[in-house]
Amino acid sequence: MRRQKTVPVALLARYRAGRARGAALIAGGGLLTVALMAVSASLGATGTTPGEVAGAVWGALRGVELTTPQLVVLHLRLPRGVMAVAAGWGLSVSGAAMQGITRNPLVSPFTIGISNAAAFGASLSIVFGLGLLPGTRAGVVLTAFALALACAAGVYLAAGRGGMEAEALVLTGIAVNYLFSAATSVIQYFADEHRLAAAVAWAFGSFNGARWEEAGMAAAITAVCAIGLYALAPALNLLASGEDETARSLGADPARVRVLAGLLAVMATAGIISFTGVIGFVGLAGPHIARLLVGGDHRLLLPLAGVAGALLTLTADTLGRLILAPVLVPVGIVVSFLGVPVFLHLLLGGRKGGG
Amino acid sequence: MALIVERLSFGYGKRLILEDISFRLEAGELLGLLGPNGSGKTSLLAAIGGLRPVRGGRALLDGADLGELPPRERGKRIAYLPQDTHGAFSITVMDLVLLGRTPHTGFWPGRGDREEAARVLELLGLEELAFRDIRSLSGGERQRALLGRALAQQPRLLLLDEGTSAMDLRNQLRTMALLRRLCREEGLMVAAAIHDLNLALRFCDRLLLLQKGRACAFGGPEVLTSKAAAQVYGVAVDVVELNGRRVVLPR
Repeated sequence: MRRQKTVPVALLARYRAGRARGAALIAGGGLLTVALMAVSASLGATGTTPGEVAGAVWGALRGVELTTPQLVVLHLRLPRGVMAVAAGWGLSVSGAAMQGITRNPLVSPFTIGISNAAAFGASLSIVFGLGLLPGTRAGVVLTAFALALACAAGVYLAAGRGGMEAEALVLTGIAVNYLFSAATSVIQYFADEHRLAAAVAWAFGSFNGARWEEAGMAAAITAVCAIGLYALAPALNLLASGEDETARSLGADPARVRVLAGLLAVMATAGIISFTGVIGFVGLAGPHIARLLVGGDHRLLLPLAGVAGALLTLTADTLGRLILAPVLVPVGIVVSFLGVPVFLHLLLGGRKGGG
Repeated sequence: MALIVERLSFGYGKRLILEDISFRLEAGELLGLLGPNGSGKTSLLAAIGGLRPVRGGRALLDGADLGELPPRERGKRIAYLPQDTHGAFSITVMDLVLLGRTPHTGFWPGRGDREEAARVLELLGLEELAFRDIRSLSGGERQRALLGRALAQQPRLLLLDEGTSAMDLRNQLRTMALLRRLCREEGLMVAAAIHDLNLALRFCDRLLLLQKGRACAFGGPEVLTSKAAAQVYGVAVDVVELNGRRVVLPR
């Protein structure tokens, strides 16, 4: 084997071309996201143009006085856009990581129960005024976050007893999902009208009222976790490739990767949904859309999943603002209506083309 | 330069699956692991490679305890081909073989890694399949692709669990011949669980007969006698000389 001096040039060239195509998709998608943010920030009741959006940002950086449309863009729409991108990116990348460590394409960031735990925490705060900083919006966020982390810790402890196997994580998570869902329903059952409406509305998942503090925090958490997960990409490739024994034979430590990647995915997901409520579908479909386009190598998959997720939530939120204006339809509702046809189209198209 | 297995024992809970397995394999030798279903072949391969925690004993490869190595070091020394070749996700054959370079590369595979993977594809006749999704391949093609991943690791010890069982006759013979050639030319050690006794007799330098987790016999091909086969497999066979080769014929 080592004696062969000839190198299969054509094969290597084709391989490199495939990689370049993947990188181009990621870069193109990134540019599209930025462009879409500018367009989205220009649409709405106070109409303006993407050029003026750029002008508003530039003006704010220079510290000059801004016009009213520019202020609307800067303080209402842009933070909303940043929040949308952070949420979509974070949920999609977390979903990809969870699918990799559980070797299961049906898994989402919510599989281990943290969305229902967060909703439970939010309901505790909204309906009963329990938890951290009761009565404040920050309190809702913190209580939701705390419950989500507690849930994740519980699931991991339980799965860790069985050796941190993929199946244990998934099954424990499913069970815990039901538990928190039931607990949330109990609270909502006993809540009075107003608080019930607020609790239910929280669960829809929306970017309404997103301010720079919140958007900035969500973006920071997403960025840190996404970078951390990217560093684990080669390990995720190994875990996703076969049973734990195979992964070990290739140099991986499956239990350690499951804990690290799981921690990052949970932090990103909990960090996002504590602010926004539960936004479904993106965490499951974003990775699959990316996989259909660029394959399963996490070094390409993670960034493209992030881009796909960001485009999905950003588009969904923009549509949600406009289709029933002046009513703002929550992104959590729009994203499935928007994303499912796209996903099915790619899925069925891929099937026809494939072997 | 050898694989020394010392009193290896393995089990789940109260169940003991492997008991006190000891043998020695020299560099360049191909070991056939024989025994009926449930005799512990899969467990033995995984235990040797340090891929499962053992209850007792150890396996030393060139002096290093395989059970104690840090994960990456293990990945540089051993390669493993599991019995079940089905994967959960799509991956091209080229990417699959490249995965084998992971213990040797940094974050991205370098040019040397890509070229090594491509050479392995050529060696195994997989160039036509290089960009096919592994899930669309036949069982035998998948086994060849997984063997490619294992060879791309450039291991000292290759652990095969029924690594040729789904292949057609021609590919079985070609693959075993290739492995034996790699053993001779590069000092590779192979431990392969094999169901086909004639394939084992033809290509293996050593045979280890397992029965209910215990080593019945270890030695050259001569240890597979009709008596041994009857004892281990519970099947009456004749072991005859045909054209200078030993062949197993069920009665």
